[in-house]
Amino acid sequence: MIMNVNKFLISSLLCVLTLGCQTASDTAIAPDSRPVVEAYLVAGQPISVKLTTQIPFSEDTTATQQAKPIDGLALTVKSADQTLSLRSTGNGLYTTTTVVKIGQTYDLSFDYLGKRVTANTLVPTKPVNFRADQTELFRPQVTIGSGGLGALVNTATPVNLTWKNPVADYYFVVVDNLETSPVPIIVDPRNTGLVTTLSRRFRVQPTQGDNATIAGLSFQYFGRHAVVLYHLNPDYAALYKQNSTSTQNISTPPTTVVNGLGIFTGLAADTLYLTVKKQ
Amino acid sequence: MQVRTLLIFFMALARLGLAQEFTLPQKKRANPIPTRQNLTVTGRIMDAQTDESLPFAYIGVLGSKRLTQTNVDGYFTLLNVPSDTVTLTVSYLGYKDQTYRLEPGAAVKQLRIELTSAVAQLDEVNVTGQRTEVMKSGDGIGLIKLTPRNLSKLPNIGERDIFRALQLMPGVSAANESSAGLYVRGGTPDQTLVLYDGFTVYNVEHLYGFFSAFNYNALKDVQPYKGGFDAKYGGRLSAVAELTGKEGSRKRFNAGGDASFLSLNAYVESPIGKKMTFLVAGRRSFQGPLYKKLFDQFQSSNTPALGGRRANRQQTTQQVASYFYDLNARLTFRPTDQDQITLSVYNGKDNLDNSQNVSIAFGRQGNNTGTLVNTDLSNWGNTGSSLKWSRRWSDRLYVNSLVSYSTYFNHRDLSNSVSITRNNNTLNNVRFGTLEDNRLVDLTAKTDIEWKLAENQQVDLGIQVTHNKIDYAYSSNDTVPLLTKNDRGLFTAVYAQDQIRLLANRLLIKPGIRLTQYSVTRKIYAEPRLSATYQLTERLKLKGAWGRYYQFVKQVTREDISQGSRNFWLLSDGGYLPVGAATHYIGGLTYETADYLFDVEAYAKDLTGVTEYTLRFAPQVGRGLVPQETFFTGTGTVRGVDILVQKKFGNYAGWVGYTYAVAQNRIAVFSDQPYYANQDVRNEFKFINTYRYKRFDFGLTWIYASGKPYTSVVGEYSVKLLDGTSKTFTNPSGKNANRFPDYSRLDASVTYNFKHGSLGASVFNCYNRKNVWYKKFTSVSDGQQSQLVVTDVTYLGITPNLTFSYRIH
Repeated sequence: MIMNVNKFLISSLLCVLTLGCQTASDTAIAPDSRPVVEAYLVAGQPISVKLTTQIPFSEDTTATQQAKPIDGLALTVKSADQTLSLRSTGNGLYTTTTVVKIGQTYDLSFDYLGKRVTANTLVPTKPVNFRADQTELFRPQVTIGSGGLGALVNTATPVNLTWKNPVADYYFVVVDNLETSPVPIIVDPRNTGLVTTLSRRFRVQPTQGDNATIAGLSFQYFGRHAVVLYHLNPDYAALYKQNSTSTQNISTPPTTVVNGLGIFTGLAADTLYLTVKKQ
Repeated sequence: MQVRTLLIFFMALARLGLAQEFTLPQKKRANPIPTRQNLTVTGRIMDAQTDESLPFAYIGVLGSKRLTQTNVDGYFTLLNVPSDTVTLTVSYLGYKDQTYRLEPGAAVKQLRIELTSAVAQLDEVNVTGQRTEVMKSGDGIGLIKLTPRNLSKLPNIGERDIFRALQLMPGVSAANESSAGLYVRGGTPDQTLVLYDGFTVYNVEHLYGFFSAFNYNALKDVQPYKGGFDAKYGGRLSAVAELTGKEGSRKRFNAGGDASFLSLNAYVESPIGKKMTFLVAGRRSFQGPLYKKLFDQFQSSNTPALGGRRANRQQTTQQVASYFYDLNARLTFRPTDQDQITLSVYNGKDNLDNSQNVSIAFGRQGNNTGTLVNTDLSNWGNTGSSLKWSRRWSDRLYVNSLVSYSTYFNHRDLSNSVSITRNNNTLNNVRFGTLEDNRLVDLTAKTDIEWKLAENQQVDLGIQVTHNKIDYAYSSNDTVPLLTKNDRGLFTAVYAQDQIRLLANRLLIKPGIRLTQYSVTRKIYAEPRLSATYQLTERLKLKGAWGRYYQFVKQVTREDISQGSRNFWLLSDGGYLPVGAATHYIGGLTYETADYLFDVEAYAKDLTGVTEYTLRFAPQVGRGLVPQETFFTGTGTVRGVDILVQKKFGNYAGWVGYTYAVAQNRIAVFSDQPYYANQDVRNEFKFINTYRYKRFDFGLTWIYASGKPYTSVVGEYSVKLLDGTSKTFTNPSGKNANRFPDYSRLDASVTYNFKHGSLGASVFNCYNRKNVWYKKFTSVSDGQQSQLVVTDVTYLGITPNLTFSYRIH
C-alpha cells in the first residue's frame, strides 16, 4: 500500500486535464460561484466536510466580503465497500460517524447550483518507524529585560525526528502543547500581552525526506507536547507553496476537487510525546 | 470620437492618393544611336558620401518594367537590357532617387552608381523624388523597409530605436512598452528571426525591454518580413528582421555620437588603406534622471514592504548601480572587386540591480544588528560574431558564406539573505529565494547562392548547419535545483527557391522549399513556400503567399514575471516541448501613386506546438519541478488584416496604419475553449506624421490599441491547515477572460538639423495617459473578514528627452 507519488501526480494532472475536457458550459460552475471544500480524511476519525462560498471579489466595490457557509446539500462519499450520505449539521459542516480507513480511496460528490462537484483522495499508510532522539528537553526560563537573551541561542538543543520513507512521500510534523494552562518559556514583565501572541502549536515545512529537526527555540511553552507526524498527499503539501497575486501571477494550488476549490485529502498520523522542562 | 476623426482622415488620404498620377522623372536628351542590344549590365550601388554599398536598393530600366534589387552587398545584375542607350533608375529608402544614362559604346559592367542621402541634403527643399519617408511598404508580401537614417524624424525616448520604429508599422504591436521585441501579426517576439550581419540574435532588449539592443549608428539597413517569408529564412514561425551593419566610410575618417538624458552613444569609422574599412559604435547608459525613472518604473513591483512597530528599529536602503551597454564593430576587407570579407562583432549587456540592504539594530545599546540583504539582480546579454565571405563569381553567380557564433545569457537572482551580528560576531546566515540561469550558444555555418539563370529567373540555393547548446537552471535557496535542462541540438537545413517573372514582368512567382533535419527528434521537416505578386495595372498590384514554418528553439514566457526572469530559451524535444509549426495564408493588394501608397494585407496563421509555461499546476514543494506539470502545449490561430495609407513624399510625410487581428490559443489545461493569447491585439491604430520646415523636423505619433487580455481574480478562499493556521488563496477567472483598458499614447518631437548633426527634443506620452501594464491584487484580512485590493501598475507617464547628435563629416 505504498503510495506512489508519480501515480498521484499523473492522476491529478489527468484530473486537471479532464476538468478541462469536462468544463463545457453545461457542466461547469462559473469560476466565481465554485464552492470551497475543506476536508481532511484522517485514518481512524469520522469523515467531516466543510463547505463555504468563496469570498467574492469585484474590482468595482471595496466593501468587505465574507465567505458564507453552504448548508442543506446532499453529500455522498463512496469508498470501496460502501456509499455514505453525510448529514448537514449547520455552519457548512457535513458529517458521518463512519471512520476513515487506511489505504482506501474516497470519492466525494454532490450537486451545487444544479451542477456536479466531485473530489477524490487516497488515505495514505500510517507512518512507519517514527522516532525521536530525545523525549525530554531542558530550557531555561527567560525574562526579557534581565539580560538573559543569550540563553535563547545557546541552549537550543534540536530534537531529531526520523521515520521510514523509501519512496519520497510527503510528510509533515506538527507540535502541539497539551497542557491545560501552559507556562511560557519567555516572560516579558513589561508586555503582559506577549503570552497571547505565543503559539501553542507549530509546524515543520512539509518534506519528502525521512527526518526533521525541531529547534529547541521553536518551543514557546514548558510541559508535555504531542509531536504528530502526518503522511500526506501532494495536494496538501502544495498549500504551502508561495502565493503571490498580480495579473502576471495568478494561481490556485492543485486540488482533486472538480468544479470547486479547496482541499479533499487523506492523511494518516503517528504521534510521539515530548516534555519541555525547566533547566 | 478620436478614432472616427482619424478614420475620416484616413479615407480622405486614400481618395487623395487615387487622384495622383504616377510619373517618373524623365531626362531630356538627344537620341543617341545604340551600339549594342540585349546586354547585361552589372554594378554596385554606393553611398556618395561614405562609399558604402547599399543593400536591397532597386534598379530598373526607365520606361520598362525591368527591375532588380541589389543584394546584401549592393551588387546588381540587370539581364536583357534592350540597348546601351537606356537610362537606369535607382531608388533606395532615405536617399535621393538617381537616374543613370548608359553611354553607347561605354562599359556596362561593374558600374558604380552613387546615391546621395536625403539627410545630407539639408538645404534642398522639395527635391523631386527625394525619399523623405522613414518606411517603405508594399514591395513584397509582408515586407516593409525602414531606414535607420531617417529615425531622427520620429519621436524617441532616450535612444533612436529601430525596433520601436518597426512597432509603428501596422501588424507589429506597439502597445508593449515593456518589450522591445517584435510581436508580429499575433506572434510572440521569439517567433521573429532577428539576424544581424548574418548571425541570429537571441536577445533584443535593453532595460526591461524599453529599448532594443540595436544601436542605430551601427546599422545600415533593416529588412523586416511580417510573414510569408522566403525559403532562405527558417527556424521561426512569424517574421524575420534582417539587419545589416554599416561598413564604415571608404572615403575618410569620421566620428560622431549622441548624448541624451539616458545614454551616450559614439562611433568612429575609417578606411584602412584602400581595401579595408572599419566601424566601431558603442553606447552606455548613465544614471541620469531618465534612466532612473525607467528603472523605477519597471522595478516598483518588487520592492519589499518593510514596516516596523518598534521605536528602535532602523532601516537603511541602498541601491546599487545598474547599467546597459552595447558595442558593435565591423571590419570590411575587399581584396578584389569581386570579393568582400566582413567580420562583425556585437556585444551587449544589461545589469539591473534592485538589491537592497536593510539593517535593523536591536538590543539596548543597539550593539546587535540584523542585516537583510534583498538581492534582486537581473543580468542578461548577448555576444554575436560573424565572419562572412561574399564573392561574385560571375555576372550571374553570387555566393555568400559565413560562420557565426552567438551567445545569450540571462541570470536572475531574487533572494534574501539574513545575517545577525551580535557584539561583532555574526551568528546566523540564511539565504532563501530563487535563482534562474539560462545560457545559449549558437554556432552556425551557412552558404547562400544567388544564381541568375535568365532575365526572368533567379534561383536561390543554400545550406545551413546550426548547433545549439541551451542550459537552463531554476533553483531555490542556492542549492535545491527545481528544474534543470541541458539541451543540445543540431539542425541541418537546405533550401531552394526559384524566382520567375512571367507575363512581361507582371507576374512574379516564388516557389521554394526548405528541408531541416533536427537531431533531437531525428526527423526531417519540410517547409514548402509559395508567394506571388501580380501587377494588375500600373498602380494596382495583387499579392498572395502560403507557407509552412517550423521552430525548434523557443522562448518560453512565464505566466508570472514578478518572480523571475521573464522568458528563457529552450530547445524543443518532441515531447512536452514540441516543435512549433505554423502555416501562413496571406492575400493583399497595393495601390500606389506618385505620392501615396495604399496597402492592405489579410492573413491567417494556424499554429501547433504552442507552449506556455506556468507554475500554476505544479505542487512545487520539497522536490524539483516536473516538466510535464509546468509546460503545456496546444494550438493557436491568428486572423487579421493590416491596412496602410502612406504619404511618401514632400515636406509632410507619414502614414496611417490600422490592424484588426484576433490571436487565440487553445491549451487544454487552461480551458477547453480557445482563449485570447496574451499578445492578442484587437484594434491597433497608428498615426505617424513627419513634417520638415527649413532645418526643422517635426514628428508626431499617436498610437491606440485595444487593451491586452489578462487573467483576473474572481474571488478568494481560505483553507484551515493542520497546524491550526489559515491560508488564503485567490481564485483566477477564466484564462485571459478580461481586458485591460485601451492603450493610447501621443509622442511628439522637434529636431533642428545642422551641418554636423542635430538637436532634438521629444516628449513621450504627451497627455500623460495612465496605460495599465498589469494589476496587482492584495488580500487584506483582519482575521475574520477578507478583502481584495486592486492596484493598477501603469506604464510610463509623460517623459521629456533631449538628444544632441554630432558628427565630424
